[in-house]
Amino acid sequence: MADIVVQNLVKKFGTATAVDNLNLEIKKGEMTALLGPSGCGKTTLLRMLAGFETPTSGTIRVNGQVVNDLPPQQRKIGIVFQDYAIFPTMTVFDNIAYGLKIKKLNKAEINRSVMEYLGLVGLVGYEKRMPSQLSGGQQQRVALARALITKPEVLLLDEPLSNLDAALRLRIRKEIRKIQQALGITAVFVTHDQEEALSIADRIFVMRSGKLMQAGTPAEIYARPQNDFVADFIGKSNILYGKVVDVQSQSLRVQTKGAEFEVRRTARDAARLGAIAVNQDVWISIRPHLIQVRAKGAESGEGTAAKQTAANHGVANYGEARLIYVEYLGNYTKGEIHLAAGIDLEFEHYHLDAEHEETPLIRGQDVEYAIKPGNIYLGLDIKGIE
Amino acid sequence: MTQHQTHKSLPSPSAQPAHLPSPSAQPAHLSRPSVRPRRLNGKTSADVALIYGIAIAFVTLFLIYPIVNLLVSSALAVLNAASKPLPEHFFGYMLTVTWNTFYLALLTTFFSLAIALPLAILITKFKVRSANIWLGLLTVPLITPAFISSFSVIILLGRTGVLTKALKLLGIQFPQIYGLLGLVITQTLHTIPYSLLVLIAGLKTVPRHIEEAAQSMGASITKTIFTIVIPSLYPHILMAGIMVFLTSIGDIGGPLIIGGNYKVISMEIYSNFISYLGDERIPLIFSAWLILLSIILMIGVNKLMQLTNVKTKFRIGIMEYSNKKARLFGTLCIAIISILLLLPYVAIIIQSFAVRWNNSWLPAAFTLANYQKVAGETGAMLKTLILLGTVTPIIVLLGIIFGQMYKTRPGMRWLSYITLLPFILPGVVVGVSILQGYATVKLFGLSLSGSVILMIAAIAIRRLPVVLKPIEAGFAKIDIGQEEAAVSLGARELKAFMTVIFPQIRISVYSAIVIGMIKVVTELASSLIIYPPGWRNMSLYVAYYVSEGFISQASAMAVIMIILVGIGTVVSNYLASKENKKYG
Repeated sequence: MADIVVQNLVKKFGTATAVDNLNLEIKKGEMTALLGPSGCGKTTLLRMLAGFETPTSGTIRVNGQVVNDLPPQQRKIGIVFQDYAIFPTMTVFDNIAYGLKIKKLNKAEINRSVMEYLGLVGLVGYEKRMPSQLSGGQQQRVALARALITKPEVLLLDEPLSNLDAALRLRIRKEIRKIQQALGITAVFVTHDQEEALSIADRIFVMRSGKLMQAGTPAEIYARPQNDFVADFIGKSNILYGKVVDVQSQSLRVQTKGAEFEVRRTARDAARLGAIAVNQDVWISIRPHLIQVRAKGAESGEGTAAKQTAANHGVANYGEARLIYVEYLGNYTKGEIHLAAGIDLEFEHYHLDAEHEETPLIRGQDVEYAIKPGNIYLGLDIKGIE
Repeated sequence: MTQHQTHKSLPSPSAQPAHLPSPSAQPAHLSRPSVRPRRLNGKTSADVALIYGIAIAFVTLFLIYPIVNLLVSSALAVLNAASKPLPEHFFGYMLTVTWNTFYLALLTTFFSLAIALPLAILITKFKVRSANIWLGLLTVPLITPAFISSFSVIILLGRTGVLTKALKLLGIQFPQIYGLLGLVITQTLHTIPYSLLVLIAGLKTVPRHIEEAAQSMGASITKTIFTIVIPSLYPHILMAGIMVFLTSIGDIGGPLIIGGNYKVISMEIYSNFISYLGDERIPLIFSAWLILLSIILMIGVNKLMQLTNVKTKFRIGIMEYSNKKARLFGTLCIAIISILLLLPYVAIIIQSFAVRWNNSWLPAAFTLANYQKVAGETGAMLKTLILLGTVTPIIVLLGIIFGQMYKTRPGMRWLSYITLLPFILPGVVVGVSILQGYATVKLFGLSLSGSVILMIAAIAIRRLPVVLKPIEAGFAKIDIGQEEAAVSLGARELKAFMTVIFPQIRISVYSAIVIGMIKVVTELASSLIIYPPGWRNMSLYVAYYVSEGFISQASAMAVIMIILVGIGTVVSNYLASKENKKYG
């Protein structure tokens, strides 16, 4: 099992920079996700970890030893590709046994080991099949068994779920995670799917254009994004840009497109953001499910009271809006509201109370909305979103 | 059966397979393009039915009937052997000749693949320097008729050849080239470029990831190549192997020029066919025998192909290795092979300017007289032009019609095996079958055997698969839904084809036209059997000059042909690259 430390890593292809001065640490026994949009350098990083690409500069250390120029054969890695990369001319058994045959293990040992790993991925009985007789999910299981059987120090997974259909993707995802946890193997999982990364990883590295945008546990990345890019990329969010117009000890106000939002300040925010001055450029993020929306006139003491307060202070946190788009999804309704200020916000309304189902949300109707000041997340670091 | 009295004993036809200037990535020459079996609609309108009917009639008249007729006649000849005995020891002689043919074909296939496979791996996997330039040069043997290669080898390695002389200086007495040795050398040299291109195309389909997976498990580069790459290449090795094998079986130029006493089937068919003394039943029986063998071979190979065929759903790049030694070695090999393969053509060019070139390093004197003489043969050029002007439109139209038919009428796809048949049959057999079928038929009081119609039909049938293939490839890229969409909008099938489909295959058709023209110009094997008096075209002239010993004139005519064909290839490649750009 390994500790991987990447320092000042740069990879250039001609004039294009795929990985730009990257620093990160991958911990022993953890599942690490490299997450980012296509072209962010995550696959290039993985290929450098595998030894298929040589870094232009910087170092990669495994267990403290620099492996920059070590060929893949000597790295003790297992790799699983997006396209399975099953050897098409060999049976399932021969595919899985390949690594052991290279190591020249004896036949009995190979047989025993292959059967064990067939069991691990749930493919007992399939050993004589050719890859062409397997479904995508089965092929990916063979690839997984084949990568694990040599007991590698690091398991590298290059978008292993991208070519599977939605239902299978969830199943194999769970299987991969369970096997990884059972074996306690260090794994690096490349994906462009934020939900996949959140669900499977102990730690996520969010990348864009070869640079690290944020590192952290799934909860950290989701709840406390460092910049607008991460806030937008991880989970859905409404991102607005504006200026600070008023700073109080417990709250501050941000003006965006003529509307003012009240944002609560906590001690943790103070530590994260430092001093905030009036007129400073900031971004705010409002998660759709943190926007409350109800049909106009529906009884709710709290909402109306809040609205009154808002009216007094003149903030856009509460008010009336036009419902311009609605999707009914069973356990929740999502849609867009158009605020008076000309701002469109996406919301998600969860059906937590069966009684409220009697007044469904209809496109075109006027609604009341409320965004608590504590539910607006404020950040200073602006990277821009795509 | 009518013997062709106009034929002199002309050495040098060839039955080269229709190798194309640009290799295709798939070994799909023999298997149909996989199109979803869907019917456009239940009915066929009268105009479309008429067009299909004409195309099917042509193939029935000049391919199906002659072949069936040939098979029946030869079966009768064998069955009636009791009343009209076959020559003494006939079957023993047939067996010997068959064995000779197969032995030669096996040796050629073995050497061609044994040289081409390592070379292909070195070129594609080890970033050989200027590989494209060397491969470009190798298209020269590829587009040249095999009979030209054969006589050029004699210029170099014959009794008075310049290489023979050079080897003698080194103390090496080059063995007698006439016979099996010479045949293996010429056929191997001639087929290496073809094998090489098929194998390189195959190597380009092996996805990078499977090699990376092997190496992540500890396999060395050599181990990866032997356990992963080469097994993935079996279909292409098989494909290249069968094409070389069929080329060798169909070759008649080699056996005539350099074969000496080594008797092979196609040569025996030809010599018995043109000779007064020959038994008229021998070419019949041998042709039928060759048809059966070729078909059995193809069925076997197709079965094997299905077993080994590897479908890769994902298109990703190929793995390349940076190994300086392998790269240097590869560059050296491809350079040596290319020079070796091109040497004969250099010899032809020198010879074409030569007054006399015997047992000396260079000709005694140079002259333009050969070209002047050849240029005077305007008849040959004219005949070639007339054949071009008649055969090319016929095969291109047939190609488009059959392409559309196979695409939209899954029920008619069985016919594609028949339209593919001339691709695997030796040209001599195509010629014999048509002549045998129509020798006694008279049209408006004129004997068909004496008219150019049969020659046009024979060349058209023989070259149809060569044109059909690129057109089918063009069709394969089009979703049948487009035509259905046009029909659903109210267009008749013919209208839908002309407005929606044809614009998309237009460039494929252009390259088919060019390839077709090249193949019509270089056709020899069937025309040699079938040409009527006064219809000697350029390739027949080359063969005639060689047989008469006018090597310099033959060389001059050959050089002109190579230049013409070269121009055609450049145009064809230009069209192909334009097509690739257009549709990505």
